[in-house]
Amino acid sequence: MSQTTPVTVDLSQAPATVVEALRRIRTVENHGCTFLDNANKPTFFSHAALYRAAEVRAQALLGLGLTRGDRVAMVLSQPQDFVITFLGALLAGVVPVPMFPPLSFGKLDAYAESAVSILEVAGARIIVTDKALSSVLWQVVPKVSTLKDLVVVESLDAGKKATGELPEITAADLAFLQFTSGSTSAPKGVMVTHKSLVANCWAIATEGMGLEVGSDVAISWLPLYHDMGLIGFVITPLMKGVDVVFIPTLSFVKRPSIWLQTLHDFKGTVTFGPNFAFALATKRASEKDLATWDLSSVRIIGSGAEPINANVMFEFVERFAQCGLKPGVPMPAYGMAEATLAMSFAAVGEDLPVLLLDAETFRREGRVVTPDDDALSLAFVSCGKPFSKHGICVIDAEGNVLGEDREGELVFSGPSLTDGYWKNPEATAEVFRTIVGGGDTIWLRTGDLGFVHDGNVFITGRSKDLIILNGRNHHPQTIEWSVAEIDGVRKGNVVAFSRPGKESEELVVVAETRADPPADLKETIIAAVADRLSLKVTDVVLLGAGQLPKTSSGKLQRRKTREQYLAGELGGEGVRTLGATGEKLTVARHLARSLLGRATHAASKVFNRPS
Amino acid sequence: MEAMELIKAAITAVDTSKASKLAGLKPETEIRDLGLDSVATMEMVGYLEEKLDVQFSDEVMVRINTFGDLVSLIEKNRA
Repeated sequence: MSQTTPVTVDLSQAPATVVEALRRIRTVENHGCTFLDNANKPTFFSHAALYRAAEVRAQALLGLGLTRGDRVAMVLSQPQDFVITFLGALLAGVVPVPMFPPLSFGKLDAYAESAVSILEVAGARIIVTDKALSSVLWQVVPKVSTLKDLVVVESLDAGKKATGELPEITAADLAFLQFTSGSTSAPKGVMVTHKSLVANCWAIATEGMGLEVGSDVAISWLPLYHDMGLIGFVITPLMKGVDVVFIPTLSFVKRPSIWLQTLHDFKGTVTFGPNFAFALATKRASEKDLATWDLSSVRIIGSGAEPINANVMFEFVERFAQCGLKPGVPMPAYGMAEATLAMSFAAVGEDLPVLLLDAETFRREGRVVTPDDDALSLAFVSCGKPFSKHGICVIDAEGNVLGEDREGELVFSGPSLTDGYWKNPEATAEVFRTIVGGGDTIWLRTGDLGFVHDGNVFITGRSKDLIILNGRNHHPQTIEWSVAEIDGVRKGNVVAFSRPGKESEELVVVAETRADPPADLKETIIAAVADRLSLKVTDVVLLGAGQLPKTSSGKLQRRKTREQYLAGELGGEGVRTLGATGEKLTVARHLARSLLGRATHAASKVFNRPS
Repeated sequence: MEAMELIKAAITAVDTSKASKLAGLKPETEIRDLGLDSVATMEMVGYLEEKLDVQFSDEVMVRINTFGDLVSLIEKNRA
């Protein structure tokens, strides 16, 4: 029997742990992971080879003196290093703490500071990094009390190895800590157990994407230190033994066309990206790319981790239609680290579901009603339905459950719930809790505002950021979106919030400006917000590029911006923004027409369409 | 092409709106002051790598702050 003879493995049932998922495909030689390096050179590891490499890495980690349950920080920018080390840690029962590498020019001090705080909270004993990054990481080692050593991945397997049996891993065991790039300053590590991982990954692989070994090829450039890349593309494909091709994140950022080029090269069927990546891919594809690429194999391009802009999805589909891209491939999804990864998925291959609703009723009463032709309307993209055995509902401020078509905070429950935050029972108790009339069931308070329509989940904003002016609720995105369109303002770099005024809350806008902004920019902003949204801006603060506080993944930190504003200390370190989106106010019939105009090329399902 | 000219071409390729600022670029100008977002900044690096047929390592990149630093890096990689 030759080595490449396919081995038939029964993967019809969910495994108990990720370790079991890996073990049951450890004889498979004809499917596995392909890792592209920085020069785009592929290295293939069959699942059998991947298992062997992970086993060696497991013994090497134990050989460093790590024992079961110890935390090992991983700062690895090459997917091959990351995946093998991560799986090795799982086999060893050591708890990986994936961390983001320094990715851009300068800002080393800010990087070191946030790395130190994650390492401290995690109580990491060892950092595994690569040669190139080690000189940067060495400077944080003396600042973290629990750290014993820094190890370079290139020399790990050649070092001392443990020789004993690898431990038995059970479903209740902690698999890894996922640090969230939340908007507060103290990092929180989500405790992801094997049980929640398998529950979520199995649901994604089966109900969510219908993955099939042999016919499916998953492609990902997503950072592996974030849940969407790690859980979605490292662990989920293992459930069904599906092939994956990993592109280094930096390769995508440097040359965005590599994403679709790889889909073409490997006949990819499944991939994911945040909203901004769709926009970037659309913008950067050359005529030559369009003439060469065959994207007809693609079934799913999931969109998550960022508010979804329907127009960006439509432009993407239109642009690549000539490459054979099917119109139904963009697939909205909703998730968060506290729920392991995914909470809801739109149906595969379905037209992009857009809901139009009456802006005034929604703002005033938080109710979803069909807009009249001439009414101001809002458009939201559906994020689909929760998986079976899971539930999403909407609650009001007192924790009472609201029915369909009512806006409130989204709460989530089911076997994908994680165990809460590492060594932070207060934060855990605040977010994982019971709801009124819900018995003992624990629900995750997402902090997201939204509603359910026809069983579909729609996200409308973050409840913590809600701006209440004169008794009416306003999502900061609406205001930020309007300001971002003004000449001289850096798109996606605007924060709106309220401050306590004499009688009521007052609106403040903080915006980064382009070089040499117009002298009357403040006045223009005030006039534009008054004109478009009928809101009064009481104060405008203009900042230079990169001065708004952002998370490591580039999300605007509204609360931090507000805190800094109130403390009179705006400015300082900033990272990139992934591009903001939000609601755009348009008269219903115009909005419906523009969406349906798109729909002639890129099919879309517009609910509640006015005649 | 001179290193600074190459950088200007790279910036223009990723963000045409920066054209008016290019004349004023000095070696001591901090790259982030140009106001490119970080994806555009990395795209600019990608353009330079392609033109020079090199790969800048992650470790080298994080130590670069000004256009002068970037010019030295380009010249070093050409040598």
